[in-house]
Amino acid sequence: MKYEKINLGSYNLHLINTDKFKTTTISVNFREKIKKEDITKRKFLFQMLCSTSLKYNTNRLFEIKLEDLYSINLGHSNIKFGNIINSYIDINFLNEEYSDDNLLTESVDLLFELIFNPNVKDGKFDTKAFNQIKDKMNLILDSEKENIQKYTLNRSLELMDESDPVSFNLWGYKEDLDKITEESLYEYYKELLKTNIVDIFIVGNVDKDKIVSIFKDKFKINTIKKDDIEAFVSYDKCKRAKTVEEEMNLKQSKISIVLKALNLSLFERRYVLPLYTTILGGGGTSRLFENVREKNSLAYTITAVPKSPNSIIMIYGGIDKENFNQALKLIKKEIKLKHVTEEELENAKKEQISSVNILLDSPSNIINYYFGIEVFKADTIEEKIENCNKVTIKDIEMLSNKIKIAIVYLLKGKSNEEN
Amino acid sequence: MKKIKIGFYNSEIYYEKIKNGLEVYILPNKTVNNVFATFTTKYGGCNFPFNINNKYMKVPNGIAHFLEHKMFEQKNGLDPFTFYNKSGTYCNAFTNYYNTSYLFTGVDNYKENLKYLLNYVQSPYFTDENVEKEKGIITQELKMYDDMPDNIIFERTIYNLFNSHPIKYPVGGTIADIVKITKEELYSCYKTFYNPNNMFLVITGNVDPEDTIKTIKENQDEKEFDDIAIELEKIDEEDKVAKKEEIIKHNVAIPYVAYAVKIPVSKFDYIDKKKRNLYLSSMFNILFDETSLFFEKMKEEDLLDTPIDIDTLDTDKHKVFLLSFKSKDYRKVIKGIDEVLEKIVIKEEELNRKRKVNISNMLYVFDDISKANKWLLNNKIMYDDIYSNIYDVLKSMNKKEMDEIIDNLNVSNKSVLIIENQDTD
Repeated sequence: MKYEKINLGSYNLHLINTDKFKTTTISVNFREKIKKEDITKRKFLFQMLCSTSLKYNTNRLFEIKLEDLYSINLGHSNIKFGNIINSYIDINFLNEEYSDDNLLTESVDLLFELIFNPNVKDGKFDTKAFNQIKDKMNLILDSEKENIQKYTLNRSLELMDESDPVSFNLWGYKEDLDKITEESLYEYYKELLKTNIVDIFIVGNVDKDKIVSIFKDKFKINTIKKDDIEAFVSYDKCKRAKTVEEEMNLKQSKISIVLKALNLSLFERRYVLPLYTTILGGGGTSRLFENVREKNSLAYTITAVPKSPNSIIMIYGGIDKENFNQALKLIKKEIKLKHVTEEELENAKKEQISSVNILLDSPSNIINYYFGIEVFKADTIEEKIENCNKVTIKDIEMLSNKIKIAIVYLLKGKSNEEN
Repeated sequence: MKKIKIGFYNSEIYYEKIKNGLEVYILPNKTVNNVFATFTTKYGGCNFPFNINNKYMKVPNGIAHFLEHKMFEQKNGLDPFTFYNKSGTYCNAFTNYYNTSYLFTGVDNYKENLKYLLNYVQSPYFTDENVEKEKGIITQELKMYDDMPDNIIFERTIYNLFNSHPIKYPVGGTIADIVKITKEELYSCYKTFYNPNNMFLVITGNVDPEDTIKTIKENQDEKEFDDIAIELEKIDEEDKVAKKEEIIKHNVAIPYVAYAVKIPVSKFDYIDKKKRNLYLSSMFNILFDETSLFFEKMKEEDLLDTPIDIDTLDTDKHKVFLLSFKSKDYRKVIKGIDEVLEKIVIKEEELNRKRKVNISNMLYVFDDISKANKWLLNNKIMYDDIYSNIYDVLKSMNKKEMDEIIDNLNVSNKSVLIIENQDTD
């Protein structure tokens, strides 16, 4: 496997040449500082770009084209890390030996078509296609409560300070959706191409000269952007924990607790926080699993997940509402992570290192790895393993003193009609 | 050890059935670091009465899933989570209608991990106390599913489609079922269905096949198993559905609907089962997915905003297709589906496109060790075979055979489930 970063002026091409896979993956990433007021139109725009184009101007024609290209996989998403929002469009298609000689060219042409040739006429997006996406977004926003775990987690984050990027909903907001028009969306599209930082990752067995010349020739954006976004969110204080209870017609109540980690050093953010979280609620041997589930049978799901760039840890569980106080007491006790043993720490390290060791196993992992290096100046695989191994029990204890409860959110089930 | 070449896909599977009946499938992939291993019993939530001492025994629904939970309890105190955690290996298990599978995935400690997988699944340890404890945990798991409309729409529709076939009931059972489960019943099921004769291993990733087989044989040679012949009670399921329509209330924004057809498969005896399923799935996709004229029309008439989800399920006598969608004006969508199914027309170009899609998708499967593992596992469960000639099967699909399938198709047995918002009356 060979990695090369090629600066093409207004964007970087990251070429990862490997014959590991039967497919080639190309991922085009647009990023900027996250702005709450832009989230809805950003989501709208990427939905729009990836459902029709000028040439394939109905969704059906578009989907048929994807199948014709040997079932090419097209993916897109908006992801936030700390202060950054990154939107990517990626394609993953078969190598030519399994398809035909033109598949690379045709697949890349499709990618360029959907980025540079959107379904726009007379300075605005096609009304029919626009309305279809709008209806879809409305339905998805209306249906948020149907995925109750996601809803609970989002709801607890919304209770954080409203200017805190961690509280922003990546699907956007109904009131913003109502304001978007075919014209304003097109204006936003042009602005995004001008102002966002672009990185393109290519993973596969491709000819460097050929691919570079294709991009030079066809992927033209002409503005130079400065990458000066402070990616990480840091906290130096935490107000008293906010406890909020809400009700819904559910059989099982859900609990979500948001923890803030104060004044993190870079080392703590990258290595200590993930280990702390693994020991607290990472899997079948974690403190929460052991005490809330196995010893007290209070829950089936009880986990803790870190959001390191945001200095946040989220705890989530499903419980009966009458057990809320008992569960909360147990969780609060475990957050302090008293008496961490060498074995617990070693096992948590093994788990982290295991996930580092598969960073080069799939195209998406490889892209995430090099994206981390590009955007967060992340460590290399060797450095990650070395640094993870450096973490001591003392480091974990010092971190646990910096952990504060910001939000306790309970979504109470209204009915308890069991048995 | 037998080598099975998967034509066109440049993949090679190593197979061996060892002395005690355990079957092993290995698909090595040296380009990755990771390993994905599953150990499966052909026993799942589909709760057929089974023969014990010349009598059919009926155990509570949900017992296969309960058993899955309980296998994580070990007598010597070293449970799978603790064991695998020491090497940073991920472990888990899942129960479907027809199988229960135990898995691990991780880079380090492969041989020990593999031996431990065999050991813990082959050493049950159930006590009255640990069975009771699990009831609280599983109760929470079942309540979690009850809060998910996606889950309800599937389980309730299957319930309404079937009359006496045990697939009618959810894999996990109900809370009323699982509180009845006893240690003795767990042991009976375990002894019957966790016999190596009824189990198989699928290992994909960075492994050496010879060495793997050797490890497995050494491990199995040390253990003794009873000879058990599994005999399930035969259950005659009618073609007609148990309930044609039901409306329930739940936490949904707009009506969420499942349109399910129960297709009798007896008329398709002339064609290979896998190929039959490929035709039927291709047909439903052509008719209703995002490339279909139907979906385009529904969108234009403002009846659908998001794609129709197409799911399928098999029993010995029936194949079910379940179309689920969200629509405020769902009666019109249902009518539209009725009309499409009344007069099915598949164009040659559409079939050719789906064939290309199917051939290509297999490549994506073989490029990913967890997907490849799942594909092998499902083939074994569904067809008791791994279809090494999958490329030829796909390649040979044609319009004439498709039309024959359509001629023999009976889509008249349908059941519709509607979930409406609980706040509206």
